[in-house]
Amino acid sequence: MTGSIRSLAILLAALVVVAAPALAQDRPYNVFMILGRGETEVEQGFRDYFRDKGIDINVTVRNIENDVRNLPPFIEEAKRIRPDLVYTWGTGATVGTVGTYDDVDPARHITDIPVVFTLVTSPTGSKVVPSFESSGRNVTGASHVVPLGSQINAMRAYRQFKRIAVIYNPIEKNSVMQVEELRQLGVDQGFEVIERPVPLDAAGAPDASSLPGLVDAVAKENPSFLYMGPDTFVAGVHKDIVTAQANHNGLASFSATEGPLRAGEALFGLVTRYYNLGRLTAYKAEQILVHGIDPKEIPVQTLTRFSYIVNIRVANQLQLYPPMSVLRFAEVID
Amino acid sequence: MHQRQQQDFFTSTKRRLFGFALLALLLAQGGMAIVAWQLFERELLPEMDRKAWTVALIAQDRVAEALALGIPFEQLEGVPQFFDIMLAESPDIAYLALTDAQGALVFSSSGAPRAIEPLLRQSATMLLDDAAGLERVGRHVLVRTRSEDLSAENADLQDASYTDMALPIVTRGDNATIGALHVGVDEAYVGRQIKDIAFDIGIVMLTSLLFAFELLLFIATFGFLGPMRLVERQLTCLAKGQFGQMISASAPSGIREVIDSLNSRVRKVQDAFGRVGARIEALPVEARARVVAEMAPVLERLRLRFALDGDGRLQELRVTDLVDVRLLTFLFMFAEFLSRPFFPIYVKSVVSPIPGISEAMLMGLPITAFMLVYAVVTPFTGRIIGRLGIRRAYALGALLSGAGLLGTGFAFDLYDLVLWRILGGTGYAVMFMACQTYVVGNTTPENRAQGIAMFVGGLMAAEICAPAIGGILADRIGFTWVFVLGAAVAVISGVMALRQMSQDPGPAPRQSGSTKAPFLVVFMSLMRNSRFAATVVFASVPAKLVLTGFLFYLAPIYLTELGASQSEIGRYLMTYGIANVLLGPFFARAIDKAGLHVGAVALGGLISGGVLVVGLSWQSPYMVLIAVAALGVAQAMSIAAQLALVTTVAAEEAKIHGDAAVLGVFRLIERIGSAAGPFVVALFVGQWGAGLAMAATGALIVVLSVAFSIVFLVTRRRPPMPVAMAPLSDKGAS
Amino acid sequence: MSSQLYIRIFLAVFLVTASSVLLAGYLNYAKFEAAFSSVEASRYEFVTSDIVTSLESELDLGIAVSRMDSAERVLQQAMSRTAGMSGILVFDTAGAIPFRVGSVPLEDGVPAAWLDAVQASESGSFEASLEDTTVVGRILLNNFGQRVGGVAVAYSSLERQIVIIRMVMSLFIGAMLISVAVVLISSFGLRWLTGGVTGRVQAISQALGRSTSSTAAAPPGATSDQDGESQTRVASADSEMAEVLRELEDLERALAGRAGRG
Repeated sequence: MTGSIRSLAILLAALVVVAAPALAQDRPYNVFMILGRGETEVEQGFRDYFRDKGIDINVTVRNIENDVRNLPPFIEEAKRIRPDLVYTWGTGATVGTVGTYDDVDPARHITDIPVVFTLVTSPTGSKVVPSFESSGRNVTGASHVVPLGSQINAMRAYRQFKRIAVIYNPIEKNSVMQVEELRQLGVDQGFEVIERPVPLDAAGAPDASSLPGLVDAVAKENPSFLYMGPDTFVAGVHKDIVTAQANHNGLASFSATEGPLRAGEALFGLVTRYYNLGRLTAYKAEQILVHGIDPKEIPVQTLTRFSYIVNIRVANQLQLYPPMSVLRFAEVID
Repeated sequence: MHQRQQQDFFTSTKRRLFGFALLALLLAQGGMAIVAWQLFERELLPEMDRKAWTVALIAQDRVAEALALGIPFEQLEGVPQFFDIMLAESPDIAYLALTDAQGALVFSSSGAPRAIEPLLRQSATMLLDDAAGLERVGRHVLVRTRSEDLSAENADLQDASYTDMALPIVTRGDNATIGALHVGVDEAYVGRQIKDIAFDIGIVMLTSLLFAFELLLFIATFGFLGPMRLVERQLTCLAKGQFGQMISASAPSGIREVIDSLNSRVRKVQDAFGRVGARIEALPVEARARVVAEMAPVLERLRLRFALDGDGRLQELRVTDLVDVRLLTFLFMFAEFLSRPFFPIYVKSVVSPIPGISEAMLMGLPITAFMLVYAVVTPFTGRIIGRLGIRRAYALGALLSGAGLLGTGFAFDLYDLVLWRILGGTGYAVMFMACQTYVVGNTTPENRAQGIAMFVGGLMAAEICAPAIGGILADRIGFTWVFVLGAAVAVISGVMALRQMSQDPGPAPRQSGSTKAPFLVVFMSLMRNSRFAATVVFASVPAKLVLTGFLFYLAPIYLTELGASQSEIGRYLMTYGIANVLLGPFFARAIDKAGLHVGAVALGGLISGGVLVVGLSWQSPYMVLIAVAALGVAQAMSIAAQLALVTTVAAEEAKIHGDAAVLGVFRLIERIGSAAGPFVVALFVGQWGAGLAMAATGALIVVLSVAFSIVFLVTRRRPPMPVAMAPLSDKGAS
Repeated sequence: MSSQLYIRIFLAVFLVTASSVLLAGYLNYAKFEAAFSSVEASRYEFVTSDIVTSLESELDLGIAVSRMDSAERVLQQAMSRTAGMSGILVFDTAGAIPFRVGSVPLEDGVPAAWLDAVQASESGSFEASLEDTTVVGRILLNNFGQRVGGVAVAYSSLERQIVIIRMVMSLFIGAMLISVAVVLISSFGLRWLTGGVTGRVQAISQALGRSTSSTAAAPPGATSDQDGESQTRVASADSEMAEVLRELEDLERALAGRAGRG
């Protein structure tokens, strides 16, 4: 896995070398951003990357306010002003802008301007690209999802375990898929996964009030960790209740996203920092803008080193301290 | 009785020479080992200390960082694993450890020996008490304790040798020392480095011992042993009243006086005889005839009785010991065998791939070329030697061989490499046959066996040490320079031959046969003899095939594949020579005594083939080592017996065509087997890879050996003649 | 025995011993060189990988090479605690050197070879030799696998060369002294070596001497077997000689008589 990433990196580096020297820049590059809900740390990382490299970019920002119905006018605008690059944030804006690879309509979608997407959870699952190697069209981008195998390794690096628990929202498709994958890994690697879907209320929505009891029940089965995947309900909206209740039971929680670590009480996690994702996206953009590489030649990528974050306050509370080897590369927060 | 006594003190002097050389070299290498050890400790330990210091500081930092996060000292997590990772590639550091404020061990790397606890406590206590003996390095404080200082009380520490470096672990807030971090410098690392090369030093020692012995024997023989032998011979002759010979040899004082004294006696007698002759000459012609007729019976009686010679032509007694051949054989075989452990690998590094021919085949081609040329040229060497004389023929061979080796070392590609090997093979053949002719010419049929033993002795000495030393050198100075060294040795042997070999000892008695039938006729008639054909095709050819195909070709390739270094390969190949030398004479005697030649040949084949087949189940360099050693034993068993067998089963043909013709056919076919060896095995390697090729070669040999046995079981049994009477051995030439 | 013979033996012993110990010395030297270099290299490897880990964890925060604020401190610390280190520098892919402590002898900027290594090295490390300085370098990777620069650690190779030369000289001198010592000691063995022959020569030459000074019989209480045996043979030789001479002299006399008469 690391091997393939390394060889990928070498390939990329080679591409850069081939394309160098950088084309002389006589004007700022125009970047047209279509965002989901305003600027985030991703865009900060994106801008800082170009600033660090001394490359001038001229950014136009448009927000769809979390509603893809707001998208068509922006697409029209982009087609009119013809920027050097279109930047799309999130799965919704991205699919709306470039279409799925098997359903592209030059009338509705942008095809003749390079598009770089970011924060797309599953670029292949949402059919933005057929494979990470190449989109096969004028599109490339970055994903923030940490591969599940890496997450398991991160947990193992903290403590060896035989059993973990997961609480998930059964109506989030992403979550269910993640749990299935986790179950398969458990079979392959010999650990047990205790799965608890959040009960649904009469309206068919997950019932938040059941969460504390669910955590208590899970804790009784003595899992080593409570696993919190990229689940909007459990690890997003209710992260503080879930993690606090787990800690109360002496159960350490591992998170695959930044939220439960910074805003909740999760002990540790392996995450993609939005800021770093922005830099990675900028790196893709740089290859297109500065080095003139065709987007379909540029693989879609996640980070190669994720952020291993440990909350030392929680570690103290649980008396579950990070091992020396983890401390060497972990980011310790308080 | 004289004979035996003479023999006794010659052998005793020989033994003393060996002991003398052994002692001198043991002394020298022992001294060198002590010197090296001292120097290693002096130069390596400080650097190891410096590294341990760096490791200690880094580890101390990491521990301090963890403590700064508020993790309690005792609850530090994963410390042993962390230490293990740090020490993963540091064999010079014995352990990393943490002790608490009382000096008790809390965590340590997993390889840390239990015995270090008192050592740790001692350093930690000193450190915590701020005792004398604290060292300050920059802002750091450290304590050094040597395990030697404690080994008196602690038996477990006695056979290990550590220097413990301890650094304080200090809390960041109140600057209190709450423990110590320890790094153990493993002083035994120095010893391990030296032990690593112990094998190599041993090989150097063995090689120089053989060199020293050959050289001393040579000097001693021409310096005093040879002249002394002449004195004994002369004395024996004189005591029998034989005055027909003079000693003509330079000798050291002491012996020279004796020689002079003995020669003066001869001269005196011969002079007296001469004076009688002169008197007769002085007689008037008419009287002379009468006197001669009258005195002839008396004169004739005296002449015969005392070996007197009227013409003053006395036989000259010279030192014609064959040690010079022994030394020369040793040298030229040494030159040629040096490259044995790496030759196919070298070929691989030189040749560029040729489409359609497997790499394995290319690697074997130069060996095949060499062997083929050797087989083809050998029958013509008689003519060369006849024209140039042995001395100059040898020198020519040495020159060709040296040029061949030199060219091989600097070859560009397959084509010139093969050309250089052809040159080398020609030189080798000429040298080999020159030495054989020399032995034959300088011995009588009675002492020929001894002469051959001399020759084979030099050959086996080279067989033992050359591959081993060649491997060691190849590891360090590279293939090319080993070839250069070989070329130099070959040329030196040529120069020595010119200086040392006595002038040609008369025509070599080569043709002992009665008629000289064309080769093809002899060949056809021999091949109709099923027992001869079986011996040659099912025993001799396979024996040579496995020798060149496995020992020279496959073993180096396979061992390299299994990760052995050149030095190791050389050492492994050496066991062939050792097994052969140690067991060869024993088998020859035992087989002769029991008359089991057929059995020995069959068993030899089955052993050498069987062990290769077994090799399939254990893919390890040690298996190859076992196979090489077993091959040595098997060949020792089989080769001498084969010769005896051939001369016996072809006795009828030998009567018609002569021994030489029969042997000529035998040798030629056998050498074709040598040439085919690498070729056949390369086919297997190209098909199945080295490991399976070994087994396949083995299987082939086993099948042929079984075929051989069947032929001999079916045909009538005749008692063979003893090995000792078999004509010249040809074993080393493969 | 003649001194020429002894000189030859001495020479042979010296030649073989000297080449034997010199070869052993060479093996020792090669082993030492390897061991010393590996210990030294692994010391710098420790320091370098410590630096790289520290810098990369800062890169993981998304900070560009030139903006790492811990770099200065990390380099200073490594420099201060590593004996023999002459300088460390951090460079980026454009060849800029944002951080540098101590001295790394660069003529004009970061050598192209290092930049190439950063882009292409498979092992993630590179090495260079500048005058008397050895440089070991490691590549810095950011958290999306981009090669963003390198760390070059320079240390004086002079010290190592001095140690190695000192080792070579010591081994050589040691080998020579040992060879000379062995030759000297071996002179004691020479008597023993030639003893058998010398005894025999003496026995024979005594027997020959005695017989020329006429008394043929063995002296009372004749010493060893060997002496007795030599004497017997010499005596028998001399009696044979006496016989043949007598007969020849008879003949000569007879002929002389005849010539006189003739």
